[in-house]
Amino acid sequence: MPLEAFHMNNMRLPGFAYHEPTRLEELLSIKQELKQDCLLLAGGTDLLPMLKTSQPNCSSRFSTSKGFPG
Amino acid sequence: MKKKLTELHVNGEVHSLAVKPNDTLLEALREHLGLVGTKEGCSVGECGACTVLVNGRAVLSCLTLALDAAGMEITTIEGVSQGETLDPIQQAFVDHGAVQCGFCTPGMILTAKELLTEQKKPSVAQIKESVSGNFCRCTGYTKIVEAIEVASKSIEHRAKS
Repeated sequence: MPLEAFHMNNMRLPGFAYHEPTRLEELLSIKQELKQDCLLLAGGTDLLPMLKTSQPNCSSRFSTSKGFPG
Repeated sequence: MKKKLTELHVNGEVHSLAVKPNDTLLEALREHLGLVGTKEGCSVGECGACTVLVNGRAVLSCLTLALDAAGMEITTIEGVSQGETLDPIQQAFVDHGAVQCGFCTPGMILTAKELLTEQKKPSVAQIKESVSGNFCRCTGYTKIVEAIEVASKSIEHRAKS
């Protein structure tokens, strides 16, 4: 990670809406509505540093980290 | 950004608080609950200073959303001692000079706690591997590894007596 990325922001996550679908159909429905404007969060150990350092233009996130039965 | 009411179970207490979706567990602990024993180091999951236990597993609180930790059992360094009595790992760190500036210590101790819960008699290699995700820039790791080794013996001794 380039050093300047550390200095360019204060290492906070950008704002986003948080969805917790509990069924696959629900996830697909939200995803269809938001199209590209969403990211899937699984563990987050790659996604969160990327968001902190590069802050992609994306206003919504899903959380599936607690898992759901499909 | 809409805040969400959530319940965090920290050190045996339930806290109801309103967090933003982008609040990390680290920010919730330090800024909402005032538990500043958990340290913010690199913020990107490299240094291990922000390590806490979530359901007994060592996790990086800087890379965990507060909302994702809702309802789980969270242990921070503030919850490790039994009142005024230090945990054997904390006592060993004190006795063996494993603390210098102290910034990495909470993360080190919680990582060691996970290790010693799962592995009663870890080898030196296992101890080194377990703290490999926790950076110490003061002392080097010799005293830290020694302290964890002594703590494992002390816990074993207590269990027998």
